Amino acid sequence: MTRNAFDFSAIDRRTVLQIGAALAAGPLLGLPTLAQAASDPKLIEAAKKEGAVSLYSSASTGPSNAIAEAFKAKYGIPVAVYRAGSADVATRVQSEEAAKRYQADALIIEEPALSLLLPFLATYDSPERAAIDAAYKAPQYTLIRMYMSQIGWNTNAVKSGAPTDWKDLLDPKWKGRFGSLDPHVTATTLAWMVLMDKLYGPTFLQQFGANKPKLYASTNAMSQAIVSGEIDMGVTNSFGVIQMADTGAPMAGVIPKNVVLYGGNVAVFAKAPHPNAARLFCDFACSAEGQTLINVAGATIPTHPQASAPKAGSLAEWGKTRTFSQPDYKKILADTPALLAEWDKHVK
Amino acid sequence: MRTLKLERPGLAAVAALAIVMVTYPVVFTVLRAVSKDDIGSAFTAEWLVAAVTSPRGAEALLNTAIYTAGSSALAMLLGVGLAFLAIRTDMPGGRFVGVLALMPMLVPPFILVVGWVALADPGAGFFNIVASWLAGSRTTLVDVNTMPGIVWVTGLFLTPYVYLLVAAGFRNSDATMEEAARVSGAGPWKLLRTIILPLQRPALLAALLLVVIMSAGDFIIPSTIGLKARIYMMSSLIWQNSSSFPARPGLAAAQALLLVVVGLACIFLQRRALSRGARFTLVGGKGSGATVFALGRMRYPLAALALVFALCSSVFPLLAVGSMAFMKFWAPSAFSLANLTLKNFRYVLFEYPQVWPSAQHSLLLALLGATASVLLAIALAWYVHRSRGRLAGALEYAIVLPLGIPGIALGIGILSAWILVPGGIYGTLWILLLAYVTAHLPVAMQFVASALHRIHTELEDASRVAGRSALGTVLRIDLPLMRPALIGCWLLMYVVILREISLVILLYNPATVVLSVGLMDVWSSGFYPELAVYSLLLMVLGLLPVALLWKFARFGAEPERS
Repeated sequence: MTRNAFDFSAIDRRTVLQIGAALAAGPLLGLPTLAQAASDPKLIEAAKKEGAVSLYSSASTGPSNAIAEAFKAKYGIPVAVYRAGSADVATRVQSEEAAKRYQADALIIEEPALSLLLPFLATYDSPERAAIDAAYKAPQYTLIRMYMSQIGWNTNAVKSGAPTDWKDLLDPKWKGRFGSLDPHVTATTLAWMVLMDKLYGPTFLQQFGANKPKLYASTNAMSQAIVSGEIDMGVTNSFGVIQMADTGAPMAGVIPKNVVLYGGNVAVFAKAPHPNAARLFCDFACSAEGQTLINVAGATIPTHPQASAPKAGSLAEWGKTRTFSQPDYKKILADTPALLAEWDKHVK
Repeated sequence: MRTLKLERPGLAAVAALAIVMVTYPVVFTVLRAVSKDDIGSAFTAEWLVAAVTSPRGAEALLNTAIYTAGSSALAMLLGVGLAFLAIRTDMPGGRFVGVLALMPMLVPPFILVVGWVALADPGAGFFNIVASWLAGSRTTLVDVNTMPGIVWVTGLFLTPYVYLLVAAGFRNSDATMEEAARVSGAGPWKLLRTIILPLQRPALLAALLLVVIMSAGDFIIPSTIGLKARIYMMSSLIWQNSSSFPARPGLAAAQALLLVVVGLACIFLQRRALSRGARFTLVGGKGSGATVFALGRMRYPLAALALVFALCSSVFPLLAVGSMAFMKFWAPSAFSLANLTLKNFRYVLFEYPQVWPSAQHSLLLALLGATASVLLAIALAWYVHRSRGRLAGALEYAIVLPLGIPGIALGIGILSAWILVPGGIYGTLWILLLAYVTAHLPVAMQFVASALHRIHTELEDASRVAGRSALGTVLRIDLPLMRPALIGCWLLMYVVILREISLVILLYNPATVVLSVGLMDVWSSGFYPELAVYSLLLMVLGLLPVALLWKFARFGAEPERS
């Protein structure tokens, strides 16, 4: 049940109201003019003829439904959303592909599940991708919603001497008072481990383990534990902190200078039963309009330079003061057993 | 002396189908455990060896043994004790205790965990916050993040299963035997030891079997408190190996097979114990006038003890969860008017997508699934214990298999099989129904079989002699006598289907979404206040039939007088 800690878990919300607000704000942001750069009219016509899209998404309900509803409102094509954790989405797709029962048209998923599904994806260079930086796209997929690793804390518990960087977690005064995700069930934590190793060498993990983090299975569970006072702080991520603070909870944090950049991708299935509608959906998800919607709903950061999700900020802004590290998931997948053995040795 | 041979081909066919239904997901698990990669790749013993020799394997086995023994013992003690106090004694408030003993069943297990963390976490638990306030310094009165802590929570969670199984037996046990013992001068203790408890042997053994297998295979505790407390168990390892990237399904399957072996060993021991005790299990038809034990001076102390249990098992965690539902964010420090809100209710009940269509699907599936499970269990129990068909032995062992297989693995097995059937039921509500029945039939079977055990075949023989058909006998003799157990079983099936999660996540479709998919979503990506509202919604839906059927099931206080 908690297996999808890897997803955009703790965050992704939220309400129709917020989505409504984003839609209302659209004209102010000048979105309608941008949207004109959009899809081929022939594609739109063919998509409408197909009349449906089936979306497999590991983004949680808030963002998944925000984009599905907006797509339907714009083109009159309903989107059926199958939502599950990324490992479950991957299992389901692999089973359907093996049995040749192709049901999925479009996909929203993050790494490393994406790597497992690459053989089943079509290459599609959406016209909407032109504005997106090359670092965020590949022939078969496009990153559309990003977030960063960070330290989050309870503002009632951490008043002075709050951490500013990762190595502050090693301070004995936090011994047993902070949390981490369990890398056995969250591959994002492996990516973070790799960055820590690169920044500080192998002693970081030793000292981290010696400082006795409490382990959690999902960002969400850890955010709740921070707010309720189980722990004072934890290694969490940007959307988790933003959304928890949004509820009025005593949550704040810091995004250290060197951060891991995680992201959710959109893609089209090679054997999509509705290939045109799938492409049109992909166009929409890549566009400034679509990215604004999904990122506002999820407190994540868009990759389209003209999309805007003010709470999460923009990559250009963050890039001025932070050094992003985009994990090499192929390598992480290959190194997982060694990385986990290393973790088990130090974090007991 | 089995005069009632009912080996009709129809019944044998049902038994054969049931064996296939519960076995094929297990076959997939076995194949996965011995295949290098996907099923169909080269065979290997690598996973089986790794399951036994992996670094945490020994530690996990030991922890699982302690955890299973502890929580099963606690659940048996509480379940049997409360059922006895509520039904067979003059303890005041017995009926109330009976209701409260069943409450944890209605609560999704997650939320019981959330509730207990809110009560007994060293930093964030109410008990410790109050203790610290009284003591003037940071004081840890109770700590849920320990082995005794998780044994406690799991024991409470399993208590209703035991209660339901034995309460029905306590209710319609044979008054004439008790009468005979009393007349021959047996005191209350002797009566209890020599007549009442031995008569409940089938129910007690069924309860023990269930709680042992359920606690050994439980995933909720290992993935929450267990992880935090670093108490690794077999199911933690299965969970980690099937959730990591890349997943190691072969290793996870091999580890799941260890749980299957535990299940099979349990059923073997249960059968042996039952066959030795067969002569004690006769119970006549008349349930009236069963002894009511006078507790004397112990009445009030015992009532107080029962009340403490009730407070712990349901009232406290539910209060914690109930208060969460009205808070903007959840923290023990956040009880203030400023943090009070109804927006969680508005969000879950009116804005959360598909909450009402999924409620309809869930209700339909729970009604159908519970009914199908109970009917199937009646047919199978009859086949095993009365007509002793040729497949009876195989069926008895096969039927516990799904209990040893984690829900998600069971889901993968069902998916892998039905996706290959063209057209078929893949992607429909029926595949969910099939999955629910497959997963929960073992529990239903224990209920029905233990109830059938209590009915002496003389009654059935009499009915046959009087000229009734086999089916007529079942309808007029067995079903009425088993009524409390059957209704209890149906209610249990209904609520567990309503809240079943890991099984359905791979099998649902956007058009067949069920409530527990939303529960999983809110659990993994929402806030606890929303999870609390969602859980309350599930509880209300779960309570509906309990309230409607309560009168007929009567697990509560007064002995049946019909």
